[in-house]
Order: sequence, then structure tokens, then C-alpha cells
Amino acid sequence: MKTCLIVDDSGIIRKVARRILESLGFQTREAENGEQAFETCLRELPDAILLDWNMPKMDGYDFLRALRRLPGGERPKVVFCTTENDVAHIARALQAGANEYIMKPFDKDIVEEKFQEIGLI
Amino acid sequence: MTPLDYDFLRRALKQHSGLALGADKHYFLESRLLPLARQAGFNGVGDLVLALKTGGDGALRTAAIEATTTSESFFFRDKTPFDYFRRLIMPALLAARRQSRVVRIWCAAAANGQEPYSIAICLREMASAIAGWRIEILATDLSDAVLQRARQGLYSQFEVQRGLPIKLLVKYFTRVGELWQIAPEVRTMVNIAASIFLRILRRLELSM
Repeated sequence: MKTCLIVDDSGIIRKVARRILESLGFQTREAENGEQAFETCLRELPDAILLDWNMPKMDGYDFLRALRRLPGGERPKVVFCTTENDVAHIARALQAGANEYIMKPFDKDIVEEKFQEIGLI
Repeated sequence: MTPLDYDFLRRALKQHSGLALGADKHYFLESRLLPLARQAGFNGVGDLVLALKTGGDGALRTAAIEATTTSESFFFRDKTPFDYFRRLIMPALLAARRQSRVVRIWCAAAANGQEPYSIAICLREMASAIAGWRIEILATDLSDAVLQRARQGLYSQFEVQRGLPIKLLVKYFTRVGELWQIAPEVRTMVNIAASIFLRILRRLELSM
């Protein structure tokens, strides 16, 4: 079973995302910020990461750049999931190594299609 | 809505829009036409039917037909047909038409434009293979309202996230306020026209 790390400082978003991803057949783990997510990835890299941008301690962008510098860090497929919905943020995310990008609000169909697009489903 | 009203509507929709309804779609017609009936000042669908039967108000008939059409669509809808278009259909057409170097594509139920624009995006992504070719995309639909939306090429954040990879979104769309607009070079590839589908069908039927 593929694993997905959900990184968001909102407990509600993490809960909604968890339900969606589990319904899509993923085993999920959660982190409240980029720092926790990085520590999780040091122990075990997930197959996928659903990543918020604006979080305390370490935001999603800095986490992604740190992730991609790790040995094996190029492997997890990273999908940003954020309220930042302008082209500049999207371009920065893609340049930092994001595979896809979801603009909140989202639903199961959007998550499923984005994950299919990058070969996770 | 009486059974006679339902039969009248079924026949009228079949004649004017090609929509073939089964014998048990009363709820569908009631739910689609009741808002129109109220908006037009009728007590219910029965009175609307009576007005349609007298035949005088073409605008009311057009509104009734549009109320029963489905305008939901997505970019790269169902994905597979567009994969086939890229990998199989266009290569075969380019081989078959290498003398004329013309390909004409008709999107007959274009709704809000996502599907013909998806075809246009596919073609732009294979620009080198079709350099020097004339590729025409005709988009039609029964509903003038959805065609107007298609001409504008403006879509909500939700609409551009369904079916559209993020790299194609940033490549072919720009933000306009809270909406996203398809790039002019893609918009101009699609000729959006009022539906001629039924007229063509009728001509074909008469010639057979």
C-alpha cells in the first residue's frame, strides 16, 4: 500500500485529506509543519506528500527544497495543496520540485485526478 | 405535468434538440422546467406546456430546450480520448492528409468550451509535427449561453483544476481576478458557432 504524508497546520484539512487519501487506497501519516514533515521523512520517505505552503516553523516551500536535497529525496511525489493560487507561487513550487499543485478548496475528484496525473494512482 | 404534457415535451425535445427521453423521465423534466415556468410567470410546468403548444413564443421554446441540456464539461474529460487523440488519431490523420495538409475537427456538444480547448492545447503541444498544416476546430452546442461562456474562455479555479495538469494551466492560462482565462493563441484556434448539428442531420436525412 502506498503511503502519503499529509502536511498542513490545520487539523481539519488534515482530517479531510486523510479521509480522501484513505478512500483512494493510501496509508497516511500527518505532520503539522515542515519541520515535523522533514523529521518524518528522515525516518522513512513516503511515496507521496500532500503539502501546504503557509505553516509555522518551516513552510512548505522550504520543506520541499530540504526534501529534494536528501538522499532519495527526489522519489516522493509532492503535491502542493494551498490557498496560494497565483502563477508566481505555482512557478516557484514547480521550480522547487513539486510534481503537481492543488489550489484550496479541493475535493476528492481533484485530489484523485492530480494523483492520477503523476502516476500515484 | 400530465402524461399528455410529458409526451408533448418528449416529442418537442426530440424534434428540436435531438434529446431522446425515455418514458420515465418526468422528474427530470419537472425539475429542469419548473424554474423556467416560474420565471416566465406560469403557475407550473403544465401552463408552460400550454404556452409551448400554442407555438407563438420562439424565445420560450429556446429557453425550454436550453433548460434541458447538460452543459457540464471538463478539460481533458475522461483523459483516455485525448490520449488516443494525441498518440493514435493525429498521427494517422497527419499520414492520411499529407497531400492537403488540412485537418478539420468538430466538437459537436462543446458546452462551455473545455473540450475543444483541450483539443487545441493538444495541438499546440505537438506544434512541430503540425507546422505548416491548417487545423480547424469547430465547436457547436445547442445552448447559446454556454457558447458565450466558451467564447470568453473564462473558468473558475475549480474548473481549471479538473483534468488540467498544473504545467498546462500555467502555460495556457492567465489569472483574471479570481478566474482563469485561456490564452488568446488557444482561443483563436477554436471557431465557436451556434449549433448546426441538427440542420446537418436533417440535410443528411433528406438526401438519403
